[in-house]
Amino acid sequence: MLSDLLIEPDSLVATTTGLSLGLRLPWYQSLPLSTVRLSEVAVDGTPLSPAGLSFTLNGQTRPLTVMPGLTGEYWFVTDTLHLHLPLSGPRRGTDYLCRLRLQLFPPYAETLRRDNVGALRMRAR
Amino acid sequence: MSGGHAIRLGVSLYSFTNEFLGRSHDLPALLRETAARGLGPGVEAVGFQSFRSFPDVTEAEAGAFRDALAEAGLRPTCLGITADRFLQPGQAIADSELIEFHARQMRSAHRLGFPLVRFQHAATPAVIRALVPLAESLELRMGLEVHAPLFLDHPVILAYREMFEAVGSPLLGFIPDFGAAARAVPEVQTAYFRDVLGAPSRAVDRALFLWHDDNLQPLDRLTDFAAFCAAEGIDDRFRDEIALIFGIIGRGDPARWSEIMPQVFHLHAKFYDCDPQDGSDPAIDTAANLAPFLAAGWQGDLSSEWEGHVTSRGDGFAMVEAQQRYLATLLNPPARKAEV
Repeated sequence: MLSDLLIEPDSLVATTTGLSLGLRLPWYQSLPLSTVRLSEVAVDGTPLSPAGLSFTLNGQTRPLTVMPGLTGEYWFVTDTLHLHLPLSGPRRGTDYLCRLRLQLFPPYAETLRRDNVGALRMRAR
Repeated sequence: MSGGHAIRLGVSLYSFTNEFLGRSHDLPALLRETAARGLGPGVEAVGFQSFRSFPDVTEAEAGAFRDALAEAGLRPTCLGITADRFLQPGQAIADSELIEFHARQMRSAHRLGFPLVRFQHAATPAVIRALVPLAESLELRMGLEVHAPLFLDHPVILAYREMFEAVGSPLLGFIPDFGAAARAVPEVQTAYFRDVLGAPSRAVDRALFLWHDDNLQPLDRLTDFAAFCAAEGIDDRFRDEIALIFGIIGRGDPARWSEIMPQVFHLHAKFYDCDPQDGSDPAIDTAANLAPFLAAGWQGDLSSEWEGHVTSRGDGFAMVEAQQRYLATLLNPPARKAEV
């Protein structure tokens, strides 16, 4: 049920460089960013390389590739993470189908893993 | 039945995960509504859920929390802390680092005004033993949550029982979670797997069969279920969702809580559902779990803990209200009329 939270409704925004998508942490408590893995990001069926993505959280915008090293920084459980998706010619008022996989590895249980897949068609603001 | 006990009711804010994550209630609003509905006075929280600056809670955040509690007429009872040994998947940190990580959370608990922390078994006895001097300096009790899939005779719990005996500190004890001594897998969960997720019935049936097999160890159930799913071509997502039942619900004998009674600091009245007629949980026999504590005249705080958010967007406040009405009948049963 928590995985339903993953993609925040009405969070898609067209920017000068692409799209910004709001994500929620599908877990009951905050987690270190190093235990969060985002993958299989696609817009309208076209996969985007994680190496080209960036995110905004805790007042900073950084490449997604730095996330595994952030052992001391937390994604607070009620905060929205904004994922920046590079896309040429993003248009306000256009519908986009966003799909992604987010895996969680809660750090207090070695074998616990939660696999969340979210897909939502939204109109870009 | 109730003679001599002094069990004080309260609630874990974890019960209101749906409200908190759904942003209908921030922390002050949760406390106000808890008070307004009379679900306290005890308040338990999960450090990494309720406090933004955890594990190093700032004085500003701690002060705001203490003020909000006081304003609502509530009392802090217990704070959940975590044993984050795997800050990167598959890579364990050293005991020394885990000790310091616990110490930061304990200092935060003290700052927030909690007299007790609930720690996880993954901490290990060595780590907890090393923290006793800090607990003494903070006058903070430390309770190991006895939580499914482990029960009192599991080697991991036995190791803690031995360490507690060796150390002999009054600050070390246990927090029984009634979900570790359940009688069934909650029907609300199996219905969710089948009707909402659309998981194949054969996968759900296999999981229920394994859950009831008392000859299996917790890890055996997971291993067997994973092999079944692989052989049957069950989607990994269904496998992972259904396997949750092996980790959060256990088949311990509730009468055995008496074994650790003198060292029990706090109770978790975990529940998933309330019978519309009498308020009992079909999956967790709350009366049977409470019985040893009532018989012993146990004194302490009990937190209602609804975990329905795992499979439902239900109203945590309504569920806790229903459970506490039921708990009141167990704790303070009406006097029987004299038989003629």
